Amino acid sequence: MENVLEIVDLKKKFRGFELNVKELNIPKGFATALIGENGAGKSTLLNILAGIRVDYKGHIRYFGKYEDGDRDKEEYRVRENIGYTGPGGVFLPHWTAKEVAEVSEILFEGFHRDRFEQLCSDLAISTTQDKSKKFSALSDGNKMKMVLAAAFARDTSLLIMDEPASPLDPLMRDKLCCMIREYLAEEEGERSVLFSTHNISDMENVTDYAIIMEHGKIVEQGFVEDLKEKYILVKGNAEDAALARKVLYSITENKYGFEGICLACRLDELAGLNVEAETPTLFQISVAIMKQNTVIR
Amino acid sequence: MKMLRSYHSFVLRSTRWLYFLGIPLVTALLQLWCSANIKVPLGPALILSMMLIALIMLDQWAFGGCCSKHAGQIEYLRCSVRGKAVLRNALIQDCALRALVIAALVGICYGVDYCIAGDRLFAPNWGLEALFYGFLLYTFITLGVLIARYSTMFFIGFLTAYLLMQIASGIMLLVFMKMVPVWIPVTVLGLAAVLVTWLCIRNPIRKMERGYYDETIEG
Repeated sequence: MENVLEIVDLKKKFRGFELNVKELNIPKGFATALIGENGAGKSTLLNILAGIRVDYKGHIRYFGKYEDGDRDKEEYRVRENIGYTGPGGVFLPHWTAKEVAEVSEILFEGFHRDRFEQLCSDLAISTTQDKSKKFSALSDGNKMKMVLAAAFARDTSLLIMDEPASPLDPLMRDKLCCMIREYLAEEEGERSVLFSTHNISDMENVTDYAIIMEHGKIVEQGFVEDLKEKYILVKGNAEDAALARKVLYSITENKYGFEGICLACRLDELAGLNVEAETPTLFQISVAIMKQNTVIR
Repeated sequence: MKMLRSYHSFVLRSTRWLYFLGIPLVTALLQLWCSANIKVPLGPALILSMMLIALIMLDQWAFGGCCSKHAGQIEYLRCSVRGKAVLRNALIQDCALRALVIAALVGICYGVDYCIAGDRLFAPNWGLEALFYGFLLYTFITLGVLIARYSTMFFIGFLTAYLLMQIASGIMLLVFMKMVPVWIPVTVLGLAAVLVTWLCIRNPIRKMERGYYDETIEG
């Protein structure tokens, strides 16, 4: 399988935090979700991959052929092929949709103004009232919509999105999933998406590959379907909870029973207990893994 | 053309109208009133002091806060290989246009004065005096802009502009009262103008370059 990003021995230390990624490959042609609790290092990793932070040690290979040193060479078009959306004020506060389009045309060769305007219209940010609104005057949701419109209006091969779903309403999250699916489908396996999210359930239907981070390290990764085979959701009666606890990754109990996630290969160890096994959701797997690694009690 | 487009990306059309039409028009009207009513050659000094505040404040809607701690907006420029060049082009053009606008304002003041009162209010060395006003205005506005860009607070911009206006007025008074030969401030301000222009272009670019780094990597 081809990879859009290959990361080896990536290290970055700052303010008591250490990002340490031994090896990470982002598969080409898929949507990859980066999951982890606050402060896990998701944004730091995405900023490094997008090239807006360059103070790190290690190697990154882009699109299977370009090293990180090639990123700023205009002829290799590495930055041109990466679309980035961040959670903060990406644009100057006084820019309106018109200025965003104007500056994007100068900055990126593959920016399509007509596509941007169409997206602004589709995402309802170019109503007569909002069209002349400054970026700083837009709501958080509309700010993200404008950032997304600018990113999707470009011809890119990789979209790196830091928390795109967080400020969006449920309807818009669904729309974002559709946009990601359409983006991936357009070039038939040539385009990839990497996004971080806390809204795992909302984004699950568009996630092909998941990476779970804790304390600057990758603690789990794999295709969602494989993870759903690797882990299993177990439900049982309250009296079996104590025995099950030894096998389960995480457990939630009440007076009627318990449920938790365990490795499918350890399911045999629960033989003899009155338990039911189900396929877990990505949300349940992620939370169980995060609980194993968190410092939150 | 690319340079012009870079500048237009940072400076809104409404700001450009104010910059290139509004301020020269107000300057002409004020000078008209001064030439007709004040019988001493104070018009240019008074008006240009006011314009100093206006021109520093206008920058708040263009490059305002671009050197401040939380200038996250430059993130979008950092995503592109052309980002630095676009910012540099815009900043160079900003300084060049500021010099042109100031030259126009000084010209308007002297021109209107001449049309209304003839050359009776003109000092014998009025050419050097006009150059002095131009250099003073350019240096102080560029310095004000340079300082104000480190804050996103409108109030800081206004306070900077007001303080610089007071200092500029003091220097104008020294020259007006002939306490200093005019060629001295012209020379000093000329050199200062070069320095502040360099800083005004360099600092936002350095801010953008530093944005690529959080802290020194350890280990």
